[in-house]
Amino acid sequence: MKKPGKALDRVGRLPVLFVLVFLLILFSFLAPSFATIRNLRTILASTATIAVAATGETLILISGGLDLSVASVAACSSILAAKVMGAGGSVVLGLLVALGVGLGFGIVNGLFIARFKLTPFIFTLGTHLVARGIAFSISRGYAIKIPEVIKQLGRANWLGIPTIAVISIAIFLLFGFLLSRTTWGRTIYLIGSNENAARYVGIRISATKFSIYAVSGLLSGLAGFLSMAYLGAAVPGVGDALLLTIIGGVIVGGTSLFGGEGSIVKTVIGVLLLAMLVNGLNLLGFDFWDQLIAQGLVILISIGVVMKVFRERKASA
Amino acid sequence: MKKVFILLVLVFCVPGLFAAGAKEKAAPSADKEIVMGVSIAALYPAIQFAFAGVQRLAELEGIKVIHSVAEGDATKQNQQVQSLINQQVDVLLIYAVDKEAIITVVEQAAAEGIPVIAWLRAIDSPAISYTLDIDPYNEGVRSAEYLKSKNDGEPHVILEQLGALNDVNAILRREGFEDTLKGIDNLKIIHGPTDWDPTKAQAVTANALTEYPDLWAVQIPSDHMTESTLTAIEEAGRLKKAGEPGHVIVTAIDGSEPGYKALEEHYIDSIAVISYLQVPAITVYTAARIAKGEAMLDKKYQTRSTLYTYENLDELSASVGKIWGSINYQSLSSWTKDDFLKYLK
Repeated sequence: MKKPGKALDRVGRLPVLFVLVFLLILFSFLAPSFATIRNLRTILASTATIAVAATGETLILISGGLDLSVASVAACSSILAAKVMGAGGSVVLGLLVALGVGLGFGIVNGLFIARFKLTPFIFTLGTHLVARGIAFSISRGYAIKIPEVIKQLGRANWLGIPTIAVISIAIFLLFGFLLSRTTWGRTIYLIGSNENAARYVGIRISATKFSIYAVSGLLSGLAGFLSMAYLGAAVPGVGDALLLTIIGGVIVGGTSLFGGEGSIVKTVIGVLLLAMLVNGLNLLGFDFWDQLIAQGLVILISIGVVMKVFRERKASA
Repeated sequence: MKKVFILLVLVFCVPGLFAAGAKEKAAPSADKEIVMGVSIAALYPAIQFAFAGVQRLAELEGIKVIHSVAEGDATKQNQQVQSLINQQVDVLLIYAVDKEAIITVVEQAAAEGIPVIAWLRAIDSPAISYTLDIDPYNEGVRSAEYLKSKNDGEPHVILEQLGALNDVNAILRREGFEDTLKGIDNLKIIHGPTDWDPTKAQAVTANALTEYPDLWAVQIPSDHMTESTLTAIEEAGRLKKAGEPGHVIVTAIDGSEPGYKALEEHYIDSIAVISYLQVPAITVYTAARIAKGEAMLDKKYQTRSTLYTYENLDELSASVGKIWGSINYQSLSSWTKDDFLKYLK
């Protein structure tokens, strides 16, 4: 029989969840339109793109790597997909192009980082620039129109939840399972915690790292497709602002920048926290400059809480 | 993990049980305070100036302003506009990050009975109630025409700084500039992307002066990048006043404080000045009328730019009015209605 304290213990390992719940209650009391179905839908829909790309970034950070290209690859995937589809083309073809472009970048990242041992920061900075350049070169800076069906996907709800958010929840569940319940997932943690130890126990490090970057690229492609649905167009500059939000969400949630520590649930919490913060401060009518200060303070407090829990766990171990 | 997911779902769904559904909005009654929601793509100096004016005049007219700034992020802007819709504002003013990517939420606002004004950047949607726009293509044309007037037929190189690559105003300024100079064989244009960042403007100017020490001219797409551009020219030993031998011709757009000062000192040659001084009054009174459900005869107003040069600055300042960059935007908070209205005459 499961001990009743086990679930509480798990929740206790998610310190930022308390910050999230605190803010949720605070905003619900202070801003009348915050705790409404439509506003929660707004938050969920706006985080779908970020959440999917952040899932890939979580895998990479847990493995001790870094991918700076996720957001630009998403933008590049959406531009190429929109270009191929046109305003009235095949949606399936567009989806395949978006996923294919994302996967292509992921494979290139994986190959050079896992096989040729290039530094992830430097190499993915390079692919970030290449992807951004392709997106701007093809679009000439203009947003590209997309088929109406994709726009409708961005507006549709399923069981009252925005469809694109449902897709991102499905991705969370899938990768939450893969990360915590499969050998592949546990291998990622081991590589991130101690790559040498992983090598000695016979783990194929290059192959695993390659697969992580490829999967992250694929998820970036999907994120690009979802961004088209949400925005109603393929926007070449969409990646410029997303990268910090994606990495910020993952780190604020509690995934370590140094590998071996983190989870998809933490990323969900981190991404929701950032989105909720922006939304709540807007609804409270904070001035733009004050919003930045408030966002910074909440992020600092969250990181402080995460670090305290990390240290306590390390000490008790 | 399952339990944590359930907890998250509960946390997010329970408050929703107290929610109210969407409903079509009615125009506010005559005595009710109008609430204007403003979504700003990014606070560039010109936008900061125009918005400070809007805030002041709205305050004088008893209009409440709720605003958000998207920092150039189309996704964030969509979320922010949806938040403004959720707050049931009476009228929305949108300075869009991207004119296509904003259409979904514009249509959503219109469907809920909230009129939308495309502010300083056109949005191509029938759901837009009114457009108050600038004319970026024409601003590029004006800068190029000034250079054409100075063309002596000798081979010359022009550095054209580019704004943000996905910014439609930057793109149209570039197109207006290049279309006007197309076919003039002795003028070679080289590009320097800046992303509206003065530091990058300095770097691209320095690079151009290294490659082309005899650089003839620099086109600055927004003159908040003037100082850094002039620093690069000075470091290359080419900073001279207009009309002096060896001077690099500098043309610019906007009319912000750095540009205005440099023009006054004759370090830059021309500015296509945008009439941001007209914007607060047109914005506030149009928004008030639209929020009250009044019909507008015209659905669009486009501000005109005026070419100020170092030769005609004094004359134009006296006849046309001041360049907006000569006024500190913070001083707008003490302006009266008449101070704003005089720029409509």
